[in-house]
Amino acid sequence: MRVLLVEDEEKLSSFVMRGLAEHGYAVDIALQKSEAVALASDNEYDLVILDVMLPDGSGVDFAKWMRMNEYTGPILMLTALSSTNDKVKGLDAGADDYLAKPFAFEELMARVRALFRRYGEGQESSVLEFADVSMNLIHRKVTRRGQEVRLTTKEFALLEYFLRNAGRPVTRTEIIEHVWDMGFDSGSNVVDVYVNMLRKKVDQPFENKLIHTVVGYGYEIREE
Amino acid sequence: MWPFSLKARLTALFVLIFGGSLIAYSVYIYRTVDDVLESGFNLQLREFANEVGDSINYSILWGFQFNPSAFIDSKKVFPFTMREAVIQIRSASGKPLMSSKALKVQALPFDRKMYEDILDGQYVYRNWEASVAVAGNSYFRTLSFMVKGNSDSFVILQVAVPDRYIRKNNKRVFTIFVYSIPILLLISGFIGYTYAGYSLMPVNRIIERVHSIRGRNLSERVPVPDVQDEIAKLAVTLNSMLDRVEAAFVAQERFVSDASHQMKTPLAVLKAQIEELHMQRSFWSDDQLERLNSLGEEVDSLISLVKNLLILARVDFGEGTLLFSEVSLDETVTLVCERLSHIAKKKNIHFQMNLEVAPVDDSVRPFVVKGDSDLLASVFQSVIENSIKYSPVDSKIQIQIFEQSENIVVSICDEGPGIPEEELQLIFERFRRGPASAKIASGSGLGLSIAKRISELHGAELALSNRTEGGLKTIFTIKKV
Repeated sequence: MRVLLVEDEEKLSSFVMRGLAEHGYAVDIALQKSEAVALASDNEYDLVILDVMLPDGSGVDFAKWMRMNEYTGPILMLTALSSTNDKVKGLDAGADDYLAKPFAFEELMARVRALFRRYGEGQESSVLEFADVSMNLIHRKVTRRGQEVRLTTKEFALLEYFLRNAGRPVTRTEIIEHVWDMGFDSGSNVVDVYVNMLRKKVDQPFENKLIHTVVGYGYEIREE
Repeated sequence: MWPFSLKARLTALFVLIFGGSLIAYSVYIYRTVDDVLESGFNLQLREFANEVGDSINYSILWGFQFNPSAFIDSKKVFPFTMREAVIQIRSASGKPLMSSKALKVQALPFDRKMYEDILDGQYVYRNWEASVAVAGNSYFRTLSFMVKGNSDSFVILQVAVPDRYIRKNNKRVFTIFVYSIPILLLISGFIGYTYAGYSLMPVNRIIERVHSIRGRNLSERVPVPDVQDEIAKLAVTLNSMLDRVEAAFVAQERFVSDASHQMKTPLAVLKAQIEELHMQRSFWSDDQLERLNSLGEEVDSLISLVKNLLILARVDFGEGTLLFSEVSLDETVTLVCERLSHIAKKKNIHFQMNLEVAPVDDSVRPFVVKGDSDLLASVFQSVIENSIKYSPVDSKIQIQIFEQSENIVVSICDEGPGIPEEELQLIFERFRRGPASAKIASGSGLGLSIAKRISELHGAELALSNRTEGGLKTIFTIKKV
């Protein structure tokens, strides 16, 4: 696993590099945008960790440049700015996730793991398709029969998990573990509520239903 | 304070002045017309009466001889007809001697004062209302005067003619005024109101624009009318004030953004290095490890202080800086739980989250509110972080989100020690922490006061209470979209 780390604060980047190295990742550090561009043109990376404010430009622009050059792996943004506007800009530019400084290293690792889980170890196309549903992971758009279905972040993650496991029933526990990055008590009803919300958006307006309840087990996405 | 708008007041004042002078003027005109008509009528009555007087032949011998034909042939035109006129002749002492048949038993008015004036040689005019209609008329004007006979003797002649003519004309003038004044006032009031509204339109436009200017569109300016009047001056003044507000606003935003970067990056480095030292725990003695831990805690509390101060800098600047959009409250809460899950895991604290969607709810998306998603997240972050801090190991934090009439309620319950009742009132003050907290938990003591302030800016309510079964219950109530 090769990671490109773009961060101008040397102490921080070396710390992150050592931490990632300990977890078995190979890390290249770029302290400037120009350096990052040079490294990215020469090498293939599985993950990009990117600071938004770089001495010679904006990380957002670099993310855009990466996507334009057909980089399909995950991009994680680091930033000291934390308003929604900045996040939206980052996500629009093609970043997958967003971590505000200062962060705990554990948090960074958790995000990295979650990204790899989502990208299925990096060898994946950016579009998931099942029946007449199509999900673009980069633009984070879902369409069914050509019509756009607007989903919230969690609804999107849930549908993504269903699509990745199409044709196989998944349990509530599996869903919680993959979609929600937290410890839920068994008394929670979050999964059922979200599946219902998803049904309202994805299934209700259309004739054939895709999301099915597997009694006593969980849920499954399949064609009738 | 006046309860009415400037427009209404201006119109009322205008109508009052215009109406008052119009009425005063009308009364004067009416009086004058009345006088003119009356003196003209009197003149004609006198002429008529003189002719009647001339036709009376008076002699002691024959008594009265009244010969109407003497003037019936007259070519003169009077505003009454001969047939309607009644005549009464009184003796020099005032006793009635003779009267027109039409009068029957009634007598024309006569009194002491009149008698004296007549003896003085005056012509005395009176209005007389007959108690029984005389030849079809009830209202008369009478003229009484002396008619001299051959010698010193004389009689008093009283002639009464219906004053229908004056009345009719007076009535017409009166009617004109009675109808025309209200109509005129109504029309001028309407025109005044419309015109006042038209003149004040730029003011209303300014008001609307100023209302709509928020943090997002601070560069907008008030429209300046194309004329050189007070309103244009007001608009220019407002615009120069907006310039200054915008400059202050931009400076504030720049400060927040600079401070974020300048303070957070070194803190991130500090935190990273402490963490790194911590990872190599085998190198350190227990004493050193403890100091490293406390160092780490202090850095954490410094980080949360910086974050909170930056939020406060935004929030204290007021509503204008908030970026309102539609927010799914359940997602915001979930996001916060995810962010805090690494702290929760350390104490083996689980979240029990329940979303109660009304079964009849047909909307595609429940729990949607209008708000600034970052700031709302920081409200739940403060509350849930607090709960995690004070919760015992292996406990549960219950989160419920449900709809209650027009509101969406988020209830967060922990199994911690709660807050003493006397402290509950003070908990939202800045830089205050729970009394037992000094040792257990680190924190700036700003979190909850900021959360409260953010709630207020969203028109939401944040309330803390102790649960009877132990633990703290936080209720956040916000209006749904």
